[in-house]
Amino acid sequence: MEKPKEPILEVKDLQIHFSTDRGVIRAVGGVDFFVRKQEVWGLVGESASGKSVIGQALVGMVSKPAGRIVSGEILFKGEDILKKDPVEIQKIRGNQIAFIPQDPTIALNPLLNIGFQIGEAFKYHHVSNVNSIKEQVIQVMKLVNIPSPEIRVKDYPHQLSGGLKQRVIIATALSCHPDLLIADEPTSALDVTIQVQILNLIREIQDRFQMTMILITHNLGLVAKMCHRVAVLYCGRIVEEAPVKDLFKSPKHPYTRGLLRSLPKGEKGDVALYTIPGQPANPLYHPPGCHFSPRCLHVAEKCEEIPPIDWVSEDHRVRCWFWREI
Amino acid sequence: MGILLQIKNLKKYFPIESGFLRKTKVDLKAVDDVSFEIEAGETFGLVGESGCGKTTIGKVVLKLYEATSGKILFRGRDVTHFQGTPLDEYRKDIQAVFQNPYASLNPRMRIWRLIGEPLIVRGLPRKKVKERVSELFELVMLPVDCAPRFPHEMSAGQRQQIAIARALSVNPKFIVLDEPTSLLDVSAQASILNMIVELQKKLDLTYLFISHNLAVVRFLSNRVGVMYCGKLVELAESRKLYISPKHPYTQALLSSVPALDPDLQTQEIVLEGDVISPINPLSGCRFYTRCYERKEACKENEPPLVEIEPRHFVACHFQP
Repeated sequence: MEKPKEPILEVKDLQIHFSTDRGVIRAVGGVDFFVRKQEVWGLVGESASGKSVIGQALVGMVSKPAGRIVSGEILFKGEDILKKDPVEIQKIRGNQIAFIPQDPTIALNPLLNIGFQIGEAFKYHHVSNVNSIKEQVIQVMKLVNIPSPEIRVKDYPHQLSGGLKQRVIIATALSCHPDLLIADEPTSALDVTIQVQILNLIREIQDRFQMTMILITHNLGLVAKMCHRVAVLYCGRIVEEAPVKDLFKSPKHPYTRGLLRSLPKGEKGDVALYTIPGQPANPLYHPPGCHFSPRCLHVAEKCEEIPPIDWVSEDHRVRCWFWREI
Repeated sequence: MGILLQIKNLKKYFPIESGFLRKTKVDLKAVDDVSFEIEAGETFGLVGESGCGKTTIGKVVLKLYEATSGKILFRGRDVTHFQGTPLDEYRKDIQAVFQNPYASLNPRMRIWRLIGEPLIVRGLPRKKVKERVSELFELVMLPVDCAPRFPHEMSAGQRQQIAIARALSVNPKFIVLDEPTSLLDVSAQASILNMIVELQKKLDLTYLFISHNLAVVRFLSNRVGVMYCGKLVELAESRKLYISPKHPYTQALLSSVPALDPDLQTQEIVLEGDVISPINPLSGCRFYTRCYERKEACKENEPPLVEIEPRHFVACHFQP
């Protein structure tokens, strides 16, 4: 990107809790970030770090009554989504903000043909006659390279392969030309040779329609390939956010460093992999202060307090007391 | 080093009945004429995408599936049709760790019982079982105080440690590791991979490591076989395979994995279309439909797996 564009989405102090029989899970505990226009912003974290919940909150899909947005603002084009009533959110969801879920086999309704499912959002948001819906459906199917769309419209999900199903999902998301696309692990259910096809498709479309994208994933290779900026999530807090190159070249937070070092890179007989000590945190109980402190090698007394956000450079921030020293 | 396990022209077909009154029978050729051998003390990696038959090979080796034809030789003995006592004996030497530790551990058994189960089945006295279990706890670095707990109290990484301890309980020589880390987070994956390497050194184990994750296979394996649609398309020493792959499919597969550095993103080879169905596959090369170097001859003749360099085998008509 040449020059930084203004943000299309701003999230301020977002907190999401889930009440369960065993207690309250603080899935997201105070998250701030913004996404610039036409940028690909990555959100990485391990399972249960809260990354999917954030994605769901952005489209108003945090499941009630268990899930509760405790505080925060989600400003999309300057307007707070959380203050809108469900009808207004429905007008934005699918139209201006679209969502690509993880598993294409579960996301499609097995009883409806794919043409209907692709056209549903378009029908809802831009009511028009049957013929123009059909036209639009075939057009987006062409866009995502589904072979012979005129015949395939009548197919049911079980007749398609995993890669094609994911293309159908992407077509559904794109049918209304959204400004913001949220992709939650869009390729983790796919094989690598299919993954490349889908990623190239997403990137091409993002370029062509100047879309903004949030890519939620656990795969750091995907982040390196696709994103401009990336945030690392641990236990519902962003511990580090940086432009992709900075994050891979000079990670500052001990967790980010551990994560990057624990990926297998070498041959057999090379040195053992780095492992982050301890077990992943229990979602019911996050340690006080810095959530990563029980697993951190540089832990000190000060870590019992929540570390503030510190700026490494203009776009690079980190939440650690000691990032300068380590 | 001697050869521990030998697989000769192994075929595993699954019959599929369809049509009127289910009278039409076709075969799903999950594994079609695959041969390779595994040396004692090495890790043999098997990679490929879903449905290529890699897990089926593992299950046939474990004798969970009966081979349609072909032979499995373990230490020179033909085990293909073992039944009863000889099969029990064979299974003392060969164990497995499966992909999903949420499915492979009985939720109603306590951890010590899960690990000791193979020994209890073999009729070991309870006292000896307890002794062995505490040895195993140490070996896989599980804290002893989790012995009376249940699997649901453990994290995914710990569950996989339990599955490994259970596999080791009978002192096997050979372990089939079927995607043992694919459901784990990066940090848990690293410790399990380290443990797999350590245990091999300590206990002189031989592994068949099945995975779709190319980086993990590279980290663990001495030699790697690449499968496509029931066939072995390339087999070489790990270093050679990753640095100079010869088969177009291997080349595409390796180029598809995004590098872990934003500056090193290479141009990937994008394959057209999807994997063909192993039901009635093509008569020629099975990779024909997606190959970017295909020629007419590939459609007619199936390429055999030939040794193009010492210990480097490729099944392609047009590789030097």
